[in-house]
Amino acid sequence: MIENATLIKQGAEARIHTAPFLTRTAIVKERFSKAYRHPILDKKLTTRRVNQEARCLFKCRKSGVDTPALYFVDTENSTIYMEFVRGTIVKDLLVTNSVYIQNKVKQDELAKKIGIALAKVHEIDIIHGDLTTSNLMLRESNQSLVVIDFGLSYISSLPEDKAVDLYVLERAFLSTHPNSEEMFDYGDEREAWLDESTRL
Amino acid sequence: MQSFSLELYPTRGHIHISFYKNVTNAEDLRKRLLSHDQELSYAFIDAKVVLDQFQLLIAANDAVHHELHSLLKTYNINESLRRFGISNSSTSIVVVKVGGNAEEVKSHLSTLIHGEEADVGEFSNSVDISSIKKYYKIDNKVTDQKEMLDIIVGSIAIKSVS
Repeated sequence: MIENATLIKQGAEARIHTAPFLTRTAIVKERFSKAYRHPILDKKLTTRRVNQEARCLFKCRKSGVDTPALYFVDTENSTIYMEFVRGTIVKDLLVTNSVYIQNKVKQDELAKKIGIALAKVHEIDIIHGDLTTSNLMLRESNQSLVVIDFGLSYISSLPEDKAVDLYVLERAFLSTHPNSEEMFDYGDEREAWLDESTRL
Repeated sequence: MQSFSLELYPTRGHIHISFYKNVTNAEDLRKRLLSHDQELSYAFIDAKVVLDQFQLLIAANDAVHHELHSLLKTYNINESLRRFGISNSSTSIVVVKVGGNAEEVKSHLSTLIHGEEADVGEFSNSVDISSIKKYYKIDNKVTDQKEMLDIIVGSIAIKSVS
């Protein structure tokens, strides 16, 4: 592990550290091996996922979606180094920030930012794969919406895959943020679409 | 000159970055580089393709990583040399050195390069945005330099993946 790293989160797939890196502060995401998998298969899967994550992250950044900047990919050690974004996780914002809890205009503004960011992601055929309010941030410096954690992302042009992304986000909203139904008010169009899809 | 540490490879030594302007002997330096003159074991870079020192640090870190893991996939450096290396007409030059003693590097460079040593922060004055956009395939819509730098370092990083 890099010098002076601080563990900030341990997930099922990876450990997240922050560390000084080439004059800046980096997020260091290290995928670890799974003992229950055959070592050869494990190495192959981990390498593929690291590469896929880095590619999706950078493709989004390059196409104008605000994501952490990609700094360095260490395939040998299954580690990605990226920008440490200063800001607030959208989930925390909606749960603890009284302005966002009470002010409908602020909520609409946030919903619009999320919509625009996701449109850009889907436009370039990237499926985020884990869209929850924990994987969205507001950048402290300019209040831009930052999409993070491309660990489950992949490339697909299928409308169904993009729809699943949106469905996951809707479920995440409804389960973690009570009374957020109105953020998903599609109006008549959605009713018509649902009618049609049930018929099929 | 400024020196930086490589947190990932602390035993490899420091990265030294120097900036020279009003250089008059670029043609001679280039000739010596092409004839493998061992005295010039530095990276001589045309300052017009360097946006920020962070770009150099990311590239140097990547180079050291590849060196230590013997991952060099290609030895065809012709195009890199043409785009990023100095040309006969270069007058602003950035020099990068991995390892070595800072004082020795500094004094050696001052004998090699005929020009004025300037502050490392100054090389953004000689940057040629259109070349940078072309080489790093950056969309013309991107105008913000911070965003440009993010894309540049990402492009360097993603090279070892794709």
